[in-house]
Amino acid sequence: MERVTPVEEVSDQEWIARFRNGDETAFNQLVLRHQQRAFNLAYQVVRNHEDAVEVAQDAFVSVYRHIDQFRGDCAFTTWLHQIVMNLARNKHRWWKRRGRPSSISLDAPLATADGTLDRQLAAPDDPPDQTAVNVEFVDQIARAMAGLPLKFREVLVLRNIEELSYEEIATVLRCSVGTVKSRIARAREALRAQLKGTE
Amino acid sequence: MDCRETRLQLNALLDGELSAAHTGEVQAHLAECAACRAECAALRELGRGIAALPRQQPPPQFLPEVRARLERPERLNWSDRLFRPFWLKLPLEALAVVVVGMVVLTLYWSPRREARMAPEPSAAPATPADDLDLPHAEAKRGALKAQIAMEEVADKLEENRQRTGKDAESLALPAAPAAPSRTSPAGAAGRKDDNGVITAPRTNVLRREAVSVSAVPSPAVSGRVIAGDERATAETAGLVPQLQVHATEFRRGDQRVQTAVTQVGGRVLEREEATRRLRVEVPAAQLPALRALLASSAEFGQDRDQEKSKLAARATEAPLGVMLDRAAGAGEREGGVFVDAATSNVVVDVQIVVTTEP
Repeated sequence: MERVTPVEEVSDQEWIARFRNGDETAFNQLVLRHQQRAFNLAYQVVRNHEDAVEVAQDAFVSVYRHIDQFRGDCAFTTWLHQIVMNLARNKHRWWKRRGRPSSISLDAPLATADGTLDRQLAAPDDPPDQTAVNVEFVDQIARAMAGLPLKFREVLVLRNIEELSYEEIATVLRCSVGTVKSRIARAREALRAQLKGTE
Repeated sequence: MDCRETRLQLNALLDGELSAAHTGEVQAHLAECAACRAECAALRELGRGIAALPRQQPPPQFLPEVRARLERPERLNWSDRLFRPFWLKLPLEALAVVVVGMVVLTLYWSPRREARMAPEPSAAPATPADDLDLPHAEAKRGALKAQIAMEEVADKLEENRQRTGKDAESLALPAAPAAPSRTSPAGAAGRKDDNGVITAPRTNVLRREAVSVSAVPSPAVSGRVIAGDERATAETAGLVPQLQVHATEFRRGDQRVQTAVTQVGGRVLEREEATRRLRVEVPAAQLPALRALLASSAEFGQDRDQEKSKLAARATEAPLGVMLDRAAGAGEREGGVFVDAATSNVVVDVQIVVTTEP
């Protein structure tokens, strides 16, 4: 009897191959698998729920329409990050040109689609040293991150939240590894300066 | 490794991006430097804080909304709208750019070229209405028509001389074609003297440039063909056409002029080396031919010669044309050229300009 592979065990490459062969459900599986990551990344950059939804959904639309351009020389998630980051940057600039602050204040509760406070710290089953992170300190970091320039926020999100390597970050941001290294150092310095300012 | 070098490497160390060799060095320094250890701990705490930021969850309807977006027509940005599909739009747009460029260049250059071809405002035909602002194209047309009329006049003069031998003064000249002249009240350009010769003021006349042979501005001239005994008056009125011949030395220019004059059936009346002037007499009908010969015998190389011939040929159109235009309108128009009534010859002054450059 033929064994049916669970959805979780099918690789991105496999879904992509099926989708290229006309299997529309394969695209749905890709969306379901990566929607949280894409949405969160978009949110960390644009700092607005509605904009993040739009950016993330547009990113998947772009994946759908340009799947033929994905050559497979990097991970699908890297390609997706690249698309999300580009769209988020565009959205950020769009608002900047129209005079809206690029980041909403994190002093106010975070607005979600259903209007409820949806702040979750990292997963509760994190190692003890991570769960020990002070909630207040995280709030301070969230506020400080909102005040960072976009290029600093990008690298910190990609490194510390998405946990991409320097090389992957360089691919996503289309710059050199050296640039990533120095930008991360400067971003952390800037974040520390912001934290001192908010204390 | 000192503190400064260590702190430069701390971020890479915490991110696991440091090589094994460097990791060992940095850790060795951290083991003995409390300040750097504190810095390292602060950075680690910062990293944990960022990683602990709230994860945002997408809305439950995320996938259906993506599907709904896929149903909508694709929103193209300006570059896509402009260039895609590349294979179709790029060639068409390149073609359009070329066509528009050619149209613009044509529109831009045509008036300039016409302005070059047409007489300068100050060199407009010596009509009494120089202050009028006629388009250059009209002046050019008029000059060409006048040249045709000039040739007709010369033919008639010759014919008349052979047939009747009568004084050319009685020759009825054909009406001139619509010249670039701008009709204005008589008398504005000249006045009759006691001998009945209309002497014209030295007003603006058509000025043409030729590299080798150039037409010297001819003065406005009287309105009828002048008899031989009126030659002196005609000369003082400036009716003698004048040409300039550019040559590297007087001897060469002199030879060219004499050869050309002989070829058109004329003769040299006077030759003054000091002033580099020659006065020659040629049949009126041969004056354009004389100009052309002088132009084509230029000595500045073949390419230059061709250019000069073109310029010289152009130069022959206007001055004589203008003069004959005046002549054609005898009695009505004020203008004319000195033509010996007995021989139908015209006297031409040739100035040889010695120059080292064409």
